Amino acid sequence: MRSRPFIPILILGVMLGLGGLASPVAGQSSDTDSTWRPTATERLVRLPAGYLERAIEQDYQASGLARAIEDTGAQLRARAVGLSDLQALARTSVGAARDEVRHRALIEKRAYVDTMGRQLDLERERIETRVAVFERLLDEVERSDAPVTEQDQVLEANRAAALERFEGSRARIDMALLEGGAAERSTYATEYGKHADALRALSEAIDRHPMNAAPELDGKPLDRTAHLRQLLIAAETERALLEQRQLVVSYMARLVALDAMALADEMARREAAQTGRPEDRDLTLAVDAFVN
Amino acid sequence: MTRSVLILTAVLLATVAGPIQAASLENLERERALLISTLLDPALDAEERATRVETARRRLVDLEALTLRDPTVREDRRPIARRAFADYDLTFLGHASLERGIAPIDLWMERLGLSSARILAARVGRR
Repeated sequence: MRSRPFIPILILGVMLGLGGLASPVAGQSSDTDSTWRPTATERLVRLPAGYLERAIEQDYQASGLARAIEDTGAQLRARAVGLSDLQALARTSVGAARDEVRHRALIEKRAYVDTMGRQLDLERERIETRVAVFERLLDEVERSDAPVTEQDQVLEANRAAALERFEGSRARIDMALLEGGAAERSTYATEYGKHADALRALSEAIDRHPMNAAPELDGKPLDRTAHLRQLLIAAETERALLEQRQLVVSYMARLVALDAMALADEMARREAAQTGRPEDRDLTLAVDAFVN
Repeated sequence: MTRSVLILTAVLLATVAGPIQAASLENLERERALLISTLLDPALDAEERATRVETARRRLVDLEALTLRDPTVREDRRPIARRAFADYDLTFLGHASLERGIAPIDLWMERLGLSSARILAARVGRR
């Protein structure tokens, strides 16, 4: 029973430590930079809609936050294995050794809950950064796609009228050029036309490229704005799920605290039974002398 | 290896995916200025002017067609585009003059409000 004097201290430690979980451990210090500062949205907004999400994911994967989440995940896996070993050991141990193992299991559980709290904080940071990026992108896209001012509407109308007039007079103009003896196209126009054809071919290849394919929802292609809204909804859903996970962890913390109290209570009762009050012990011993 | 490919992809996309600056309207403007300066050049005799004007006009007509079909021009919202499409006759001088069957210089002067009567009635003064 070498460890018995430490029991109340350990249990107090477990409970105090878990008490801190009520306010998530965002303030935990880390030697490494566990932040994610995404690429400027002006650059992201130029990417094809289908590639946008992958680009954000790649940017995240290269961040300190991704490394911190990966490290915390590895710690959690190691702690889960340790915890499972301790529980197996507690089932086969007896007496003081069993108490010792149960203490260690409690401490290990507390550390697991602590680490899980840290993991969820980092996850929250990741999700909130994603939401902020999508919101900024959406603002940017809506601003650039907006069908704009009265001046722009006038420009569109003038442009449409110019094209209509050009198409309507093409035959007449070709005939006028032929009559004027200028059937040959200028060198400049021939070269320009070649480049325009090359640009058109390349532009069509870009449009057909699978990496440039528009994302789909229920088999229907989504435009950039709708796609960003979908991504935003997905990130918000992830945030709601994270809140549920935080609730699970807070329940785990409460259960560890109750286990610690139960263990303290059990050990105190056992100790009281073994020692007892001297007058009670003496009276019981004397009964035998009277009976026999 | 994968990481460097991803970085390269991101860099290329960020570089290449930038908007293409439409330059067709500026080219058209230069070509039109060349035609007008040829038409107004007092150093040229009638025959040489006619030859040069014919070449410049043909080039202008081709360039106008290319400009009108250019997708970057269709998305151009700069002031130069607003100004250009606000006056078809002046901007697409080659097409407009052929369409109306008049000389480019006549159409140009008409659009600028320069008639013989107005020029003769003009006086030198301070604004």
